[in-house]
Amino acid sequence: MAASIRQKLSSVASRTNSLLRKSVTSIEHTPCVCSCYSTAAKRLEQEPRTAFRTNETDPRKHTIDHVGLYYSVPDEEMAVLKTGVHPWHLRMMKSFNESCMMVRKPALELKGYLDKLNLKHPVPRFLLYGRRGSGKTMTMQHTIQCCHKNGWIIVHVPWAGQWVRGWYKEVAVSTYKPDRYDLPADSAEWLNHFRAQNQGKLTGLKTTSEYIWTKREKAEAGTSFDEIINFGLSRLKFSSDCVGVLLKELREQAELKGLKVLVAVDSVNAFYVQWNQLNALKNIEKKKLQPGEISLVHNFKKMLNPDWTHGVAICAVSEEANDEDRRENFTPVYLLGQEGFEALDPFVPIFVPEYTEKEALSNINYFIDRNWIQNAHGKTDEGKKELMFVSNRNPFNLAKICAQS
Amino acid sequence: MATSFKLFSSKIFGVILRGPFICKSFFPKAHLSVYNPKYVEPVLDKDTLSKGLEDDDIRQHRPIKAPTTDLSVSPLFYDDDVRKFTNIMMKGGNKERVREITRRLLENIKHLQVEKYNKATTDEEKSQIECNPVTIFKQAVENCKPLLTTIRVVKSGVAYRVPVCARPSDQRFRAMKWIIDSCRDKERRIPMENKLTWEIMDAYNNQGKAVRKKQEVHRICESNRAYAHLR
Amino acid sequence: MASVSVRKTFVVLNSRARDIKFIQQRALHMSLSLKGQDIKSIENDKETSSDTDEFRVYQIEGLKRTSSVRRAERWSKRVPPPRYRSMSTEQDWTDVWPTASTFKWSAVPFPVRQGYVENSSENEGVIPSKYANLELMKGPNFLHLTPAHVQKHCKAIKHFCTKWPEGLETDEQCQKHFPVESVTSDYIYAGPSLTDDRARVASIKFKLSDLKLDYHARDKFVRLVGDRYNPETDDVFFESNRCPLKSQNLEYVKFLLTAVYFESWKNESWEQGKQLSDMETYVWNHNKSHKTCMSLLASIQAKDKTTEGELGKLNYLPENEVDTSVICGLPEVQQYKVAVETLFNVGENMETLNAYKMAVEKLLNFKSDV
Repeated sequence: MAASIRQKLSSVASRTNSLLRKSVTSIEHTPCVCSCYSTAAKRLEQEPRTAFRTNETDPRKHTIDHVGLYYSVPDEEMAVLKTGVHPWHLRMMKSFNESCMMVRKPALELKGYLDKLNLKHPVPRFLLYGRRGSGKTMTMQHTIQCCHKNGWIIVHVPWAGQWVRGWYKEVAVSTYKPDRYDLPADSAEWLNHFRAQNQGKLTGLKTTSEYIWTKREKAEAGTSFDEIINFGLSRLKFSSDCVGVLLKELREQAELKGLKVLVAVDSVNAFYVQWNQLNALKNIEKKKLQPGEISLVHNFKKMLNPDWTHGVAICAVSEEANDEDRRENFTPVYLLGQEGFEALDPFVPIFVPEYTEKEALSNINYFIDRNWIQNAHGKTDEGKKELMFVSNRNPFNLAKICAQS
Repeated sequence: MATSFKLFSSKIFGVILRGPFICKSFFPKAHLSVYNPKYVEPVLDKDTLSKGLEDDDIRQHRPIKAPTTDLSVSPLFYDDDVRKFTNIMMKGGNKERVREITRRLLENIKHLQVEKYNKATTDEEKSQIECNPVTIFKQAVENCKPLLTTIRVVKSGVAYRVPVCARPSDQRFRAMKWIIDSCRDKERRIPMENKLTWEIMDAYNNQGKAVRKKQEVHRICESNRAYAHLR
Repeated sequence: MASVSVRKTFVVLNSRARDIKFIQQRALHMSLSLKGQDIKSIENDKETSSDTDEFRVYQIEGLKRTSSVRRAERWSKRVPPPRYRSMSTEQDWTDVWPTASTFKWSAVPFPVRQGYVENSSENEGVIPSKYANLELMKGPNFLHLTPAHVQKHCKAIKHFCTKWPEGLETDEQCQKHFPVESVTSDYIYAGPSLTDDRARVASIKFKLSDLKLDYHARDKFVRLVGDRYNPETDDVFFESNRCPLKSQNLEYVKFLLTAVYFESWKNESWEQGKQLSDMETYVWNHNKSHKTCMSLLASIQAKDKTTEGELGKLNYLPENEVDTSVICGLPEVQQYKVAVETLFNVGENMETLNAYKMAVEKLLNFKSDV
């Protein structure tokens, strides 16, 4: 009995050894003999494409054929987009020594809508939604670049959550209405941002009515926008009012002068949802402030109302702008709440999906090209599949795990 | 085995070795595994695994050893030295946090190097820049490894610091510990990963606190070399 | 069996033979002891005759045991063979196992295994058979409820039964004619007291659709009964244990049903102040969405009138000013209305969101070629 078992064992051992040897020779390029994750990774239908870059740098000319390809953004346009891009992403662009963005389908869809729009109608609202890190902000940047090239005036809020929450933030009672609250620092920051994004487009725009700041200071009708911005930046106390003035004038003059205004608000749900006591902005009496009580938010909410023309509003909802107990879902109505839905309705919801296989592969190839993926295994087909599987093709997750490998 | 060795040595040296305990130190025990000898080695190859076992295969009825971490985790995310470094850095079992720190550390190093790489204009320049953060990390640790350490020996009531050769595991531990400790001494407000990045880039270029610590230990060993016989 | 018996008799014979020998010896001994000294001399004579050069040895009587005393055989219990060995295949099982009882291995004629041997290196993992198997005794068995048993029981109680009423053949028919299902329980157990607290609980269950209710009454009914109504199965379940007696509790739950039914038909004055947040479902016409949509369409209509060209106009809107109810009736607006209502009533998912997107595209005439 024992002898027979031993015999069997030895035969098994020899068989497995031979099997192992055979398989090792067949997959010599993969040092990992067993990588459990990649077993479930889907087989690639086509051979990995080498093309991941397009020479078409003009976002207006992108078509469906360019989906999944990277295009480089010139530095002067990057200056416009920079404030809206996540710092993490910016750091990567700096390391790569070039600013590249991927052409993705939602951005093209949005561009398609904008091309065929009747601007004489009240402002249409588009709402980007998708999972965390799926590229809503980058889609928005793509569209902003498009509109910037077309000479639109861009009113952009890079991260609305900044205005409704925070600790030790300077909150002042509004000089315009006593039951509102100003955020002087944030307003000044936004004015700078606005000026940087609309360099050269604001000349010739003048106010149409008179604004009285104090007894002695006032802006006559016919003051240029640049002066208003400069005033806001030099007198921080009135910076929020200056923002309000600019927005109001833009709304009024858009139709008269035939301007085209793009309102882009990232994480728009911050305008409509309540924050908990801990994180919400508070006034001096420690009273929690409603988003509507903040003058900046109040003014931007008006930009989203469909009572003016020659403009487009593009918003994005994000889970991060909601309280921690209201982040279970990424769908718009859940994130906006009843109030937000009613304010934006009817809007066109645009879903920003995760990467498709082609896009993910293009992203990985781009990283390899920029010498970002260093691990030898990550450069193999097997490794690429594994990266895709582990990140679930979520753009942010993919970038994150590529950063450590 | 032991008896054959005994016979062999006695033949050569003409000496009869007394008892089996003399041989004990030369030959390790045959069986040191935590596993029962019944356990069979695991199959790690994917193709073999997908084929499945035959019906008469003995492994159908035998317990199988668990594959070790360094074999079963993809090389994309695993490196033994990095794992060790993470574990040495850990405080109070807060692994999640130190793993994040290590991840950011590698990312920082990569950012530094890849930026240089992409800014370099010629191929020659590019080829000189090492971009792999794990390689840099390993080289930095290598640069901090002490060859000698001192042990405390008490002879006739006097304690001597006696220089000895450091074991490889000891070398690795010392090097990593010095890197981490030198960062803990620095400004508290700065994130740990940033401090580590600077320290490791310094150590990679044979500079920095940890390397100096190594040199200091070497110096002590050098000055105490008279005690070497006390070991 | 036969071989065993043979051996036994052999043993008996053997012992008997020994006994005879013993008795003979004993008799001899007795007869010789009467003669006293003579016997010793005889024996000594025998020895001297065998080897003459040794001294004679004096034999002390009784020092050496000359024969072993045999003890009587111990009585042992003879276990009869298990009963199942002698069972015939034609037997009536109900006679063997008439009532519920613990599993008895010797009376069960089929092989059955249960349990697990844990601490025996030889038999590890083997499932023990029925002999003295505690695991089989622990669990309840249904050997007293075989079809034969049931048949016997039925036969016994048959003359107490009445005929099953006609027209109640299927479950649906029963449900139709007896919509309320009431459940009460009796408990019997061997304890110092015959009463059981749980016996007083009474419950009724019925389908909400069986009650005659209009939209308002149904809504009020559902709100009144709260979680006693299960919207998935459309069941309402009333249970009570508040009264001391079962019959009282049963009466009480029936009263509950009556009270809630008539209460839900009433239309109180405070119900007129129903707010939007009190609505049970999202109704587009009452919500702000309706208002914004109407004003938006009105402004677009006004804009379209003043502009020339066809680009991006809403062609489905009528040319002249009309009432909002007319605009509401347009298919595009209707589609939008349905989309919003499903978005809130069904919930958000990819399908409802896409439907909403399509509806808005149609409503405001947006197009994207991608």
